[in-house]
Amino acid sequence: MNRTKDEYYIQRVLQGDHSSYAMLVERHKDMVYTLAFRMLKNREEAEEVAQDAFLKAYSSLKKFRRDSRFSTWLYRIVYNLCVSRLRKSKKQIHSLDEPDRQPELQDTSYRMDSLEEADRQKFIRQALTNLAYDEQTVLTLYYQDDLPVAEIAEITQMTSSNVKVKLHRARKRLHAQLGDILKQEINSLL
Amino acid sequence: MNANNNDLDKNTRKWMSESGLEKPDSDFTHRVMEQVEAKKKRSPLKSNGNIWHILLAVLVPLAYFGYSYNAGGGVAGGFSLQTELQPYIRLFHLVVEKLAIDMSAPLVPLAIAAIVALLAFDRLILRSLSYNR
Repeated sequence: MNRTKDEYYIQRVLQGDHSSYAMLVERHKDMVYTLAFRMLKNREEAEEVAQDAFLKAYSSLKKFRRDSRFSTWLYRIVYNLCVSRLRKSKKQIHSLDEPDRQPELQDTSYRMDSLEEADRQKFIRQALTNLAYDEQTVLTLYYQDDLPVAEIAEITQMTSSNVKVKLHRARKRLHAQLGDILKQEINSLL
Repeated sequence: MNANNNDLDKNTRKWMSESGLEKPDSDFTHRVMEQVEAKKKRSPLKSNGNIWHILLAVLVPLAYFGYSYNAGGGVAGGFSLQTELQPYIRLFHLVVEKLAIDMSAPLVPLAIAAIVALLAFDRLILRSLSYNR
């Protein structure tokens, strides 16, 4: 359904109705911005990259072959723009090693459930910020856009097995980060 | 081990959905569309059809005049391009000859150098103004 809607607006833009592009921007802006923000960890830079990505997609819309979804193509543009920014600024772009110790999953889960919704959201976002950009990307695409591993591999130009490994590590690291944050919170309360 | 992985997957899904998506500024779409409009004005879409029209507009008259010139005219009701063009060709030769004589005068290279220097100076001023803006 989403794909059909995207294709409808793309067709309208290609036929000369440029205002239809606003509909495509509206439909994808949150995910594009989230991806850019989680990779760059900076709001201004993320807005800039998100805008650049939409402009680049608009300029190359004729070249979009439609063998993949518009969103997949757009996310790939965002991902590449972010990676080139990260390379220029020499920020950390590779995943860290696996965490040495892993807190008990049930403990973390129980503690998270006992929190208010706003606090839970705050801590999860904080934990996500501490992950490497590629881990945040795979988590966001897999769990928040429900993309299959093959499409994530297409966006990130990794192999499917590499994406699966990254997903597994990212889950573990998110869990470890949440455990640490919750522990610090408890200590600060005592 | 597998059960633990499944729980990890289940919890991650729950946590990620609770984290929600980040939102850009409320005027984000408006700003993107402004830039799209600006881009459209700077580089109007050149469709393949347009390119063919331009090529046809140039090639058809060229082909016509070429054919007419080679045939010695007579294509359009007694019109002879070769005869019609003779005075212009003669004038062109005269202008070129005069220009060659004038260029040999010693002041001409100096004047050209002065013009080039002025143009370079002008560019320099424009560039410094744009940096200061």
